Amino acid sequence: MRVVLAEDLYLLREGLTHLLNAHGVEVVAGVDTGQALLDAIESTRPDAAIVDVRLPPGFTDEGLRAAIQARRRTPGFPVLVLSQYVEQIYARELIAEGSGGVGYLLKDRVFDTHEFVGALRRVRDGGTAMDPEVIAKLVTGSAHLPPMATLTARERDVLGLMAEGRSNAAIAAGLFISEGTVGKHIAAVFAKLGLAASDDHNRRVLAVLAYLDGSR
Amino acid sequence: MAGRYALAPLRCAVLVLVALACPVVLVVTFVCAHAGVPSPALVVARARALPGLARWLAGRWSGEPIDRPYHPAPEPPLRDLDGWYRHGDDLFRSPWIPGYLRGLEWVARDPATARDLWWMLLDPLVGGVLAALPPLLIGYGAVSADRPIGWAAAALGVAAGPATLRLHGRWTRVLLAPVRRRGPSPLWSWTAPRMTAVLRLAAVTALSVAGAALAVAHVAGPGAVPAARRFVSWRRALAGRWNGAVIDEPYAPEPAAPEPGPDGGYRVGWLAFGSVYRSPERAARARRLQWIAEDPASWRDLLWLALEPLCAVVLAAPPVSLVAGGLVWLGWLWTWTAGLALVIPGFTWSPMELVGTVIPALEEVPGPLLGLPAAALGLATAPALLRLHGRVCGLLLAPTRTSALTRRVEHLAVTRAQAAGSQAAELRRIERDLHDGAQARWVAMGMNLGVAEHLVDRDPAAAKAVLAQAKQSAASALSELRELIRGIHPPILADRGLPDALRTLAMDAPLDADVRIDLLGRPDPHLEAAVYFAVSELLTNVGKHASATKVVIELTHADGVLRCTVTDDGRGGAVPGGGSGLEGIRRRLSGFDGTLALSSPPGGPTVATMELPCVLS
Repeated sequence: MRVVLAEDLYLLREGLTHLLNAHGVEVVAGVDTGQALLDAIESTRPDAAIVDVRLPPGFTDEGLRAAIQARRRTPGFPVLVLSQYVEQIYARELIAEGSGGVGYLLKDRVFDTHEFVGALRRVRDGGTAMDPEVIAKLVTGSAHLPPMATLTARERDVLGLMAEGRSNAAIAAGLFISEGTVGKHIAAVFAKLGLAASDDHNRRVLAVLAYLDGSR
Repeated sequence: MAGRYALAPLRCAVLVLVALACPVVLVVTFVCAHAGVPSPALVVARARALPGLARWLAGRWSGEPIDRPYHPAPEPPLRDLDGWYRHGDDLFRSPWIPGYLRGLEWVARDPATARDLWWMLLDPLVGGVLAALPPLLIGYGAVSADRPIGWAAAALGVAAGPATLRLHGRWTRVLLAPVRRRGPSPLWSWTAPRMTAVLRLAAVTALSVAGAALAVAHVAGPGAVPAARRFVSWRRALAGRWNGAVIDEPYAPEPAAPEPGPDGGYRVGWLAFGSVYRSPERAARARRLQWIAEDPASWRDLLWLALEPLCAVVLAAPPVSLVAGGLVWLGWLWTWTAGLALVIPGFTWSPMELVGTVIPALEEVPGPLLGLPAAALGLATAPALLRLHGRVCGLLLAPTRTSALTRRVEHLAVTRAQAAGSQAAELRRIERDLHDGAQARWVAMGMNLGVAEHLVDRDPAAAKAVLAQAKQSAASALSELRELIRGIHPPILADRGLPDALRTLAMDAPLDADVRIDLLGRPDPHLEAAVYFAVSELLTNVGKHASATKVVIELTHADGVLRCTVTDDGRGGAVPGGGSGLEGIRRRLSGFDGTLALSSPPGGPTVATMELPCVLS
């Protein structure tokens, strides 16, 4: 897999490059501004981009804006956005810009390299990787709303993991339950939220997120 | 037809009897009501039987049906769940007293009661005399039946009977029929506010004399000085209420209580001189006196006290004397003296003589002809003169530019000290959090790495476990730092500005929060942070105390003022203080000359409004 990395801190950029190389991911370009990222995507045609939200010169949300612009130029271009902090509002803006191939993770998640590279691959394959913290906020923020309030605690856990973009097997492993039970919970959640059940895991994540988004 | 004429004199006689009963019932009512036996309400209510009879008779005989004008009788007092009977804020064991009080209020507050009593007083003189005419004429005819005039009188008496009954019915209607509510007449709505202005001008004149006395008292001793200041402050407030001229306090801020010196005495300096007091009370009094004396506003007060009588003579006295002279002297007194002059021979004095000494040509004019226009002129000019008086007072009583600036400097000094204080506290908190949190975790991380380095050759498995711990420490340190940074300056605020930061707050709140923003441009970053933290605190309060389900956050900017309101549908009753964090918000905002207004009636809704003067960039 070939990726472009946009990160302004030299140490972090080098560290990430080493980490990704160790997992068989080739970093074809390491850049430090939003414009350079767009140019690099244009010239190297990578499989995905890893982008820090804050980039020079303004150190606000240049990286995010560049990522959204890249996805606008090439619909569905996989982008994994990293940040020191996560905000629902950014997650929504990323999701709003076309479906699939989107990730939004705290930089802390890099510590768990397998998990991180797994998320990257999921995004490259058109899937979703939402940070648990964003999902937790989304879920608690809408917990008081009528249909969400009818979910059981376990169903809410399943919903959260599903919204992160996990597969049934991963959810089952995370909650120490069988895959069949996970399937039952998911069916219950979809029924309660009035969503059409679907096996395509990217689409079901988007459905959940769109539901949580629209319910506010 | 003939029966009607035959019965009319008899009916008139009955009406006369009713009229004669009036004074008796009136006296009985009056005596019983004042003696308090057995219940004034009961007596007055019983006495309603007589007017009731008159109404019924008017309907039957005079063709003038009259409805009962009374308020409906009160419900008997009900026993509440605790077994008490309530009247207003008082509780009673037995229903008798509250029932009695209710009855009393019912009777006393009904305007028909007073009209009944008036009727009883007047009916013997009007209705009684009227009704007596036909029977008297017939009686006179019976007595002098031998003369033609007797026959004529008797015939007139019989003929006038039905008409008299109708007329009597009309009279009964005057006082005993229900009154229809009407709005105030145009004359009244013109006169009332102007009369109020005249009365206020009269009060201002009287108060100016009292003020002048206080000014003179300054000479007698310093005791009058604080009294004069209180008086002037009261007049300043009064000017706002009466004259519509809001005048701010111009005084320098009050000094702190004196501190004892090293020798235990209290020194109060006075220019180059000073006195040492043994007791703190006397020192405080001297300090207060010094404070007042050194304030230029005090001297302006004194000047105003001395000049106000003059101002009152010019502005307030003319309308007052026009109205009083026009109505009392030329109207009321003239009517009386004119009447007396008709009755008492040789009584020639008239209030017009006084007018004649000034303008001889007017002496023969009837008084009211002059007095009513004079009073109208006084009434017409009074409100404008009252406003003018307020403005003239403002010239001396309002803060001068210097004192206004002095007060402003004082306010800025206080809020700056508060801002600096809260900033220092914030820095201490950050230092403590870093020290106890991230710093400690990094120490642990370093130690773990050291252990791992030591173990890596001998026991790779153990080294791996220690490295995992170090990773855990790093993750914890990171998340703690993230929380800390959020508390210092939320990243979203730096990245996106106030609107998106408020939207984020609303999304994260465990409530249904709606954000409405009308803002073109960005406020100052410090100000954004103040509003952000204030809204955050308010939302926390709402979540903790209000048991609300919906919150609306509104942010607007108009006329150089940034306004942010947080409205919840909770149970209301929020009060500043009591650790609710509202005081903290107020302090935070006061550093930017901002204000927090809280409206929280019991039962809700609670509306917190923050206003900050600000320019958008």
